[in-house]
Amino acid sequence: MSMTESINTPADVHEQPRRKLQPRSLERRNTILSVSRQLLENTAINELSLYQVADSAGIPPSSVYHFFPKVDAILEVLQEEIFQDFEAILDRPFDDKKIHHWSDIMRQLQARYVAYYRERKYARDLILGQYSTGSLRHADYQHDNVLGCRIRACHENYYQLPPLPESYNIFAIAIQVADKVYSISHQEHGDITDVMALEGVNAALAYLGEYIPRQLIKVS
Amino acid sequence: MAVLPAKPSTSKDAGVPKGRRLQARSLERRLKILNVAREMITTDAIPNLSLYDIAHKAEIPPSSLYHFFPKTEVLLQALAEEVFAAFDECVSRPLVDEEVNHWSDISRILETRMLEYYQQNEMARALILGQHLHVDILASDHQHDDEMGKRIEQIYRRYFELPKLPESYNIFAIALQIADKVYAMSHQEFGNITPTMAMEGWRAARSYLALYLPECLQRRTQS
Repeated sequence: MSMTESINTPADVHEQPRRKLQPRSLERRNTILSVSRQLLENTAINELSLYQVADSAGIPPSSVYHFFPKVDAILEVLQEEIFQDFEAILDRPFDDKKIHHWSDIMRQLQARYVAYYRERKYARDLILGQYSTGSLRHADYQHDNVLGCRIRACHENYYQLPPLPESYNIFAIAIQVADKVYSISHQEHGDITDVMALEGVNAALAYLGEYIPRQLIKVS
Repeated sequence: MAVLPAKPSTSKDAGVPKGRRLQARSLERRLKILNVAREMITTDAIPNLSLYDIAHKAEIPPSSLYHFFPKTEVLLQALAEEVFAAFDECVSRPLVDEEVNHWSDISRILETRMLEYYQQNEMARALILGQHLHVDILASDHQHDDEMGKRIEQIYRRYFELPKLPESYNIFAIALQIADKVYAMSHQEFGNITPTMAMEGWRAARSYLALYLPECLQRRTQS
């Protein structure tokens, strides 16, 4: 399994301000966000300050404040972007030739997620470090369900799944299980190690294996 | 672990030297603060938890509260230690040998104990499964699970011959974390761990352990 697979999801394409911003405003807002992302590579989340962002961006603090009255407002946007990236990861086509067993789908997906996390310390801190800005956390759980449903659809493109529980989504639980193992690794080593990357996907697959038989028939 | 006396000494210390009396009063105040905080800590309350409000409710001058708990995090950490102590107790309570037939019986019994504690204790859910998990508490939770994992492994070894296990991490600690993660999903969506999600947490933890522990594991011949 390739853990170093790289992905292209320019985060800036996701930003959709509520009202139309003037080009210069939009540019400033994007600068603030990208500077924040860079700063978070070396700064702990709870140490980020609006002044620091303003200083690094070469933008007056009052202007930063105008777009983002609190650091949390920046973090919320960053977190929202990550969720959108997670969805974009699912849009990328699978390597059909490498799908011999249903578990190969999850392996390919998790390799992409691990690569994404590894390239972004701020994503690890925000998602795996369980940083929470309060209002966003619930959205996170709704988001899990969206991802879970989409991952289920990915499986159904290739395999005929047995009937699955309706009151919860096993794929949503499976990705949380993998994330938890990554989170342990991030907590302990500051990153997702190869060993723990494998452990995460294996744990997720073991859980899915409770519902999906080893031999599953491919759809024609 | 929080150093809390089982019974706080009360007004009977009239005869003791002044220093001792102050110390007793200190402990009593600390205990009072923790008692009030325990009631006030719910999932919704954590983000807006104010030390001032706690002092007010405990009828203790804020300055005194700040003396014991200079920051909210310190108070939350003290309460998290109480939760960890409760989990330790779940693991320490002896198992009934007759109930251990398959290896998974060990984890199932221990998980059930911890689950019951979570289900009855909103403070524990808010602190450990809640969304506003503080970075420090997350770190000490991982560390505590590591220690518990090692103790659970010892229990397993008392009953079964285990195959060789990974050395750089403890599978029993990871299994605990996996179950907790599923419980957290349930807590954050429904405010508690539903029976269905309790089952899923157990399923996820058990299937993970089964990656390392075969279905038929030989029992240790002894006692």
